[in-house]
Amino acid sequence: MEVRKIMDTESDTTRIVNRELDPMHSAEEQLFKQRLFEELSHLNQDSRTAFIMKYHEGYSIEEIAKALNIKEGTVKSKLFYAKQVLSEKLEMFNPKN
Amino acid sequence: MDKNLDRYFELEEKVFTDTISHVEMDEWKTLNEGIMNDNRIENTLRNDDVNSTRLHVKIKLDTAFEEKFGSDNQFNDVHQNNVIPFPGKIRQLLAPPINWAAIASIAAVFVVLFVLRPGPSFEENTALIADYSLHYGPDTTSFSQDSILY
Repeated sequence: MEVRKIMDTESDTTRIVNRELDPMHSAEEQLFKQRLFEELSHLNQDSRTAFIMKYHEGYSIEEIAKALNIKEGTVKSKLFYAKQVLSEKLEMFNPKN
Repeated sequence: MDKNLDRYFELEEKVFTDTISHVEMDEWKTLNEGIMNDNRIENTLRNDDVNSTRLHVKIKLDTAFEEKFGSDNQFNDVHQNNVIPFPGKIRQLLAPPINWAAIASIAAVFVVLFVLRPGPSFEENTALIADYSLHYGPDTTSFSQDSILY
């Protein structure tokens, strides 16, 4: 039982490493990144700024609210809206699809 | 919706810091319906090479800044108390909304060309008045028969 568990873990690790080294996966990742930045540029300015500040620059919601002079609730709405739109536009890249 | 959003971002923080429990994970999955799985969008942005390099530099700069000048809060206090010379209001008053320099240059050229231009002197005026040909009089022009103008 213990041996089986170790073997499973090893096979999982091997699978992940192989996936990372897989040129197809790498190309898909690049394509995804490219499409993501394209779709980001189509978002309205406030949502785009908030989204980039949060996930690319690592600012907290409080800091974004201060910087954009809006309420924290508004920042959250904008972030969630941006996520929804991007998820819809990039549906083909959804990992579970 | 607002409460859901608050909870959503609270759970998101836990996901990113890997402190989410199994029960919360189920809740997170429910709240995340319609959103791309595995936080792929967020992770792609967070793991961007350029971003990680920039963050690294930012952390170093922030640390160096705080060591030398204190924290951001201290800097903000100084700024808000107008200890920094030349506050914004004075600068606004002094900064001309119109480009006065350009207007002054054009006015100076106009004055030199049209106002300060030297006029005819007294002698020149006398000569002009004395020139009889400039006065009206009977037409004494005559042409000879062989003139080409006849």
